[in-house]
Amino acid sequence: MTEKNHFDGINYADDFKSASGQLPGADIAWLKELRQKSIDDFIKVGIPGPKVEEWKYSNLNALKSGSFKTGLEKSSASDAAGIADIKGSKVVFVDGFYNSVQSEIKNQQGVTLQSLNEFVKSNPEKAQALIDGQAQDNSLRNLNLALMTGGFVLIVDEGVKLAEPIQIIHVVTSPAADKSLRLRNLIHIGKNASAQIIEDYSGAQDVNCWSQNVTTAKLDENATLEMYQFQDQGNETIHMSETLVDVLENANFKHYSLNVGAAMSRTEIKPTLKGENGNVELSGAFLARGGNAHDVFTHMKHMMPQCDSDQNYRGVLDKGGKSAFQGKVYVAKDAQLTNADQSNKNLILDRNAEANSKPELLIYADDVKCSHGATVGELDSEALFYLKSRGLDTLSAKALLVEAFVAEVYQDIEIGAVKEKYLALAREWLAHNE
Amino acid sequence: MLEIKNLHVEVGGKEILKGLNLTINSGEVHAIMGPNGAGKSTLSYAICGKDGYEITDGTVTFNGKDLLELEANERAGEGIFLGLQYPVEIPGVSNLNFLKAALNSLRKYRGEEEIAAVDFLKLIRAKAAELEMDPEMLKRAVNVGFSGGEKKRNEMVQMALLDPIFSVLDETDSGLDIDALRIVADGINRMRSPKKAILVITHYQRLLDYVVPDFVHVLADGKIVKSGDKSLAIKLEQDGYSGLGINETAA
Amino acid sequence: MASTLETRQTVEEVAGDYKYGFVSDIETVKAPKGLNEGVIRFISAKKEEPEWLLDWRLKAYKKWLKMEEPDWAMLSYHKPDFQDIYYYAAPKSADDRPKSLDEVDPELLRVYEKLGISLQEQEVLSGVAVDIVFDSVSVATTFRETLKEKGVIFCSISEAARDYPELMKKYLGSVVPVADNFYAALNSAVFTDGTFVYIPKGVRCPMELSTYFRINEANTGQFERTIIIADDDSYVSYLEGCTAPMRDENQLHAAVVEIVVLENAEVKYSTVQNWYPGDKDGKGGIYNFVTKRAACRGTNSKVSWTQVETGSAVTWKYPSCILQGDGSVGEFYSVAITNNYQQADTGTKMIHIGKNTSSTIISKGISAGKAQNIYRGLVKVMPNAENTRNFTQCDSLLIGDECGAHTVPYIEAKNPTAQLEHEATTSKISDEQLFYCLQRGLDVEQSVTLIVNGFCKEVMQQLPMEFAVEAQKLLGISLEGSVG
Repeated sequence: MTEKNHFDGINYADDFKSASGQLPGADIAWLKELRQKSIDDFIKVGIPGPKVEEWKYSNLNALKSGSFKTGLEKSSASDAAGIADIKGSKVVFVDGFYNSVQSEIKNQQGVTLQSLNEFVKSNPEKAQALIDGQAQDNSLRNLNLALMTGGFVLIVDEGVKLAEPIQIIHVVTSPAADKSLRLRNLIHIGKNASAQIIEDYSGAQDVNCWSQNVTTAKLDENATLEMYQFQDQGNETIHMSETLVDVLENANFKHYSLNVGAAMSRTEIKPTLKGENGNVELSGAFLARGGNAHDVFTHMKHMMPQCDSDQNYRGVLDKGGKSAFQGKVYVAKDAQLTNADQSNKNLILDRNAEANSKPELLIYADDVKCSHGATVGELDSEALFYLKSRGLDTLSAKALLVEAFVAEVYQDIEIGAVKEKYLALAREWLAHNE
Repeated sequence: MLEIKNLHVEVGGKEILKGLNLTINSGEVHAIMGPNGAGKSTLSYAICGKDGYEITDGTVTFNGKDLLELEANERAGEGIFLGLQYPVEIPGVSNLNFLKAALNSLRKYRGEEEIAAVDFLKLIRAKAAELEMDPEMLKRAVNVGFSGGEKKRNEMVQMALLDPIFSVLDETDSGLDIDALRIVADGINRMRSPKKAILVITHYQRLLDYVVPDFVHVLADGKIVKSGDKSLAIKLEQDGYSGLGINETAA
Repeated sequence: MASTLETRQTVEEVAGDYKYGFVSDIETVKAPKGLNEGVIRFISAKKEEPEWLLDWRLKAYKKWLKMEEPDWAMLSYHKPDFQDIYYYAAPKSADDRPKSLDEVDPELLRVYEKLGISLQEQEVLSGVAVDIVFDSVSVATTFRETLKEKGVIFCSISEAARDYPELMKKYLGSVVPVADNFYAALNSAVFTDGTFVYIPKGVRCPMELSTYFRINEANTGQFERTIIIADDDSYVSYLEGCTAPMRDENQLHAAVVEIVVLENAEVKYSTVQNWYPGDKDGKGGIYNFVTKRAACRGTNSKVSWTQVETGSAVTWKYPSCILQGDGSVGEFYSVAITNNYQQADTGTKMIHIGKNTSSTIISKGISAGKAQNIYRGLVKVMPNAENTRNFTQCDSLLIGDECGAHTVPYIEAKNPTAQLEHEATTSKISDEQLFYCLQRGLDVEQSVTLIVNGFCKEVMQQLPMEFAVEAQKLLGISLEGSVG
């Protein structure tokens, strides 16, 4: 009973059957019911196949048979330090489980920061309201809810400014081999409140696993949320992260990402502008080589008038690397005076590399300014010549230009340590470029 | 020729003109001056019939006809021309095509024959030459990529070609260097005739050194607060609006 | 019902007879509604086709049966009932046609008048039964003579199948294979006629082909098939369609155009499509599902598609270029206007295979009323396509707040030396532009037409002169009632 062009979801039924009793909150009736409904909904649709338009550029063959089983083992990581210069709270997940020993939660008045499992226990009603109200129109998201083993909850009360950025550190270690690791995160930033979150995904090499995270965020009136994602997973990991954000009146959402690791990564960001004068900025880079495939998928929904959105993504594709940028901008009939821009630029460095770009505009309002641009190309030969004429050899000149190409995405980041980490990670990736 | 009585105009629900009276006779040149936000541009749009300028009270008649009953293009047909402060760009439409379409529309409105293509070319080239416009500019898209001065000069060429009875020139002098200003003034002076009338709207009296008005009015807070001759403009130049007791930032 | 059954039996008899090499007098027979092998045999017999072509059709039909109607386009319409369509109908008899222009829809005549079409032509376009011999017939004869001298073949597909079987066998289905897509497969099975063009080596076709054919094309069927072959160092400019709105009762049009361009040859293909778009409430109108593709097989070959799409209720059309020859060039210039309830999902595919190939895409979409206008395009660079260049510009103009304008480009690159650039914008006619035109004396309709023509200029200037003038007028007619 799978949907057309999808892989059979029934292959996940066994995993659910055997894992469900051991999943966190197995004894909580509403959650148990919700998980059951979610797995049923998932099975009806299945895993998207290559003929599903949104998955055109990412092959999910590896997930077809349901061979990744839900990981239920708690581990600890040798390195989960995060960025030393960031003094805020640290929430550490190892192999899909919250690690309370390695985490460091710093209390702040008006800020709730907890692991999801604790939150469900301590605040069952609120947790139910937050989770149950989420959109269930996506089969992979339903699978995530059915089998998730935790996550984090961040609630910032009205008017509260989070003192320091929070670091969410995800580490994958070798016991996670052949496992699926699923987390569900909930964020609510109250009216006039603000927060910054750093999400860091890393993991051991040669660990064949599927890491799948879903984050839902709600930004109340005039709230601000900045998210900084780093993805440097192990070379055998399938990485998926979906971020859904409701942006209300005058609220601001900024999202930065960098994908360098994983066998395959899929970064989905789906902001919905639900109030007037909302503002969303999405920026990121993806660097792929040696069998890496990165797929960045954005869906910007302008539902209300006078909102601005801006997207800026860059890809660098070296030998054996593959990328896809699929950016959809939707402007509803009532969203007059929308300003939406989108840009995707790609550099292909090797014959055996591939860049795909699908910037899409769906416009139903007439008084709007929407544009997108996409390019694929080599390095600017004039710039290259200029550098060489100043004495640089070809390799160094190229390296310099590629670095500058990537760095441009991150130039406006105000948190110095975060910006530096982006640049360092990109530089490290580029340094292998010979 | 033009008679405006007790004109009240709202833009976006806000009242901008609050009972303006103005009479302009054939052969006269009037200048309206006033601080920013006094309602100068609103007056020109109201006369020419731009959408969004709601007349809530008052009358505007032109040679006995009720202008407010007419669409913007019909007012143009009656012989009213508006030189815009910011002439609009129309990509892909050549100046020549645009002007030919405009001229023929006006002729049609007046029950005249369309102009032959050859006659039109002769006419437009002559007008462009009079106003020292490079004929190449006629082939370019309307105002696209024109400098501020070129746009204003283009407005003058359009005016000369369409040969209106009554011209409203909204801040046509703004942003011009002295050479461009002379050309614009020249364009306006060419329109002076006992059968025509001109309304010059300006923030500065500089233009009035070249286009000497018969009457000068000061517009403030939606009404004409003072009228006089050329000397009023000079007085304004010397004493500023505050000399007349007008707060520059009132609006 | 009884009569349908009767006709079906007749068809089966005829088809059966054909097996034995007997072609009956079928002048008076009309194929029954619906599609089956018998109907295909009937069409083939009617066209006196050789056996191989019948086999080819049947093969296509069998593949079509297994295919599904595509649903990926952003179009919503009632899927046609393929068993409720006549696939072959004899031309209307004089008795059925209007006797004079007085019997023709005055709305249609008004549009003809606006376009400046002569009364004689109006009569033909409206299907009035007239006996007089047109000048154009003699023109056609001289025209053919001139072409013959140059060795240019310009004839109907049926004639080509009979007179030039080797060329037909070589090229039919060579660019758009029978099972390429649902509608192409359908066309392959049932195509009723179309045009065949062959330009020999080194020949520059002395005239725009098909310009004057407006009159003759009035009776083109629903399932046209066009093949154009430009041999080495040749050039041809081909004009398709009709600037005047066609009176046409056919609901579904599924045409296929195949173009083969050999070394140093160039084909320019211009279309003005103005089929019936349906009424103001979205009732009626043509479904226009077309597969057009050009294969630039030779070194330095070039193909240029220009289309002005103003008609049809639903358009599904992606004229494409396969840039196989080194240094080959593909161009796509498109204006698509949708008003009222029209929907258009159109664009192009540029497949870069050879080295040093380049492509240009300029698309202007205008959406008004309650219409939906979609640009969908693919630029694909294969691994060996060194130094590919592409520039794509997609601009959308919205008129009114109940329509939609969408841009769905796909860019797929597998070569490091490619330089691909895509830009898209969406805007509306600003109040300032409109007022400026009004102030200079133009009425609203004129103003909109002028501004829209300006917006489309880059595409319109690609059209041959005599076509361009009418196309410009058409833009205005298509947008009637969209503003104010």
